[in-house]
Amino acid sequence: MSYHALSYWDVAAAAALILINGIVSVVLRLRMERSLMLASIRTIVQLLLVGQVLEWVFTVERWYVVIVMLVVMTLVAGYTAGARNDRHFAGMWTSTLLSMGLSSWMITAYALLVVLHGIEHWYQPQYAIPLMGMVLGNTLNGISVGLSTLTNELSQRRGEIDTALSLGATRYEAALPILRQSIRLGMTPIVNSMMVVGLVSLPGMMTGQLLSGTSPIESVKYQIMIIFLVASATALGTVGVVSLSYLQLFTRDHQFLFRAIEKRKQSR
Amino acid sequence: MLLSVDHISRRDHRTDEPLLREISISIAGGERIALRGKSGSGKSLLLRAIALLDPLDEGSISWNGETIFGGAVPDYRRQVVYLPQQAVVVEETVDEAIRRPFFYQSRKQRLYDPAPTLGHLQQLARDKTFLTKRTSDLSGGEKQITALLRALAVNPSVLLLDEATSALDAETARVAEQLVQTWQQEDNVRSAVWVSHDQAQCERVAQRTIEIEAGRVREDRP
Repeated sequence: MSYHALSYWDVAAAAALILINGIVSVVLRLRMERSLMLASIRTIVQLLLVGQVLEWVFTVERWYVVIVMLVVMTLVAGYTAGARNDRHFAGMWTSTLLSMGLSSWMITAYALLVVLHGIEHWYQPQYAIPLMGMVLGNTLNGISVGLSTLTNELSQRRGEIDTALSLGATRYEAALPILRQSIRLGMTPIVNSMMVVGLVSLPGMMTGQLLSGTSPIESVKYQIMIIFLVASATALGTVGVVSLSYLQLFTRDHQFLFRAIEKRKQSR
Repeated sequence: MLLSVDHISRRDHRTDEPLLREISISIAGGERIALRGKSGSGKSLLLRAIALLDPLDEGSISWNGETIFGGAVPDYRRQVVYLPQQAVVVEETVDEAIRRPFFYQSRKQRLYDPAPTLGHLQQLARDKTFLTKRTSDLSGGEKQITALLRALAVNPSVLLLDEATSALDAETARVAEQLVQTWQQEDNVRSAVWVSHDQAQCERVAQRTIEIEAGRVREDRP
């Protein structure tokens, strides 16, 4: 199978389609011209920069370069997961980063060392970076949904928790319904998408492989692997962030630190 | 001494404003206490502190001479039950709500005995269909009744009633007071601490009055 490389002119031809959005905005006075402009420039600049960096990482192919790259990706994902939550508590960032890091590193390590044991080096950027990227991107969703469900429910159901505690429940017994709900909601999107994968749309990674000339069956095998990696990392990450946050918000004396949860001030 | 509150202090950690200042109180068995003071003087916070529901900055709570912390807290709260003004009842039916505490580890060894609850209901002039009511249909007063029945059902030694009858009509409130009194008469170690804005109620239910002002005990008189 052949693979057709794009010239910069080809890319420009595709980018010109942004004019459609521009015309819609002007005609309907949506006042989106500025953000359309900015979004287009950011898309092009950010992706070209990442391309440059990856190009370099792929050529030098050193384990420590790959590790640095993975660490940076993890930090950005952890930050994003926490920043989406509009409530905040002391220890939230630690909980988020720790569960993000542990879950995705464990699962990606399993993928590179066990599932893909035939590859030349575990740190081959061709495998390590896209796998980690996909695992992080999805775990991020689970963690952020789990975290915001937990903090929202806890701050809205204070009376219920205090009532359970004052009747002799342990902190675990008092928090359990909310812990369960948060973990379930964090894991729901990935389970839902597993139900319809391939029926509604083809996953991005598989599409990419097809475009690059890989046979459909080979692409599908990779896709199946990815889905299971993502699902397990999401489960670990969600359970991690919910448990760690629970430990920050309930004391050893079985008290609920309601006041520790603060509504974040609206930025901008 | 049954329960002793030993020099407890608590500050609001955001504003650094003192909420409770060096409060010391002893509660013996069989006491009937009214906790009085203006809104915001710290009555509720003191009751919550006695139930160990909030972290304290200083001081401690002891029960039968033992300082209570960590793993002993749920067992202690089995003995010392706090009833808030806003009764929270989230279970499906009233009966489930009353049985709920018996699923907690700290009470596992005990079984729920429905007989006293039925007796209490009779005194409150309600039949046992009240138990099958859906909690989402309960009025504020009915929620307070449910919470009181639940608290009595778990056989505590101390009840901390924080405006726990405020949503009841005068007559039902009297019956609720009698229920607490009868419960106290059944065992002479049982004590009750009442917070109420109703002067008459305080006089009816208490032999001892503790006056709180700006987080301090101003007066403690029989």
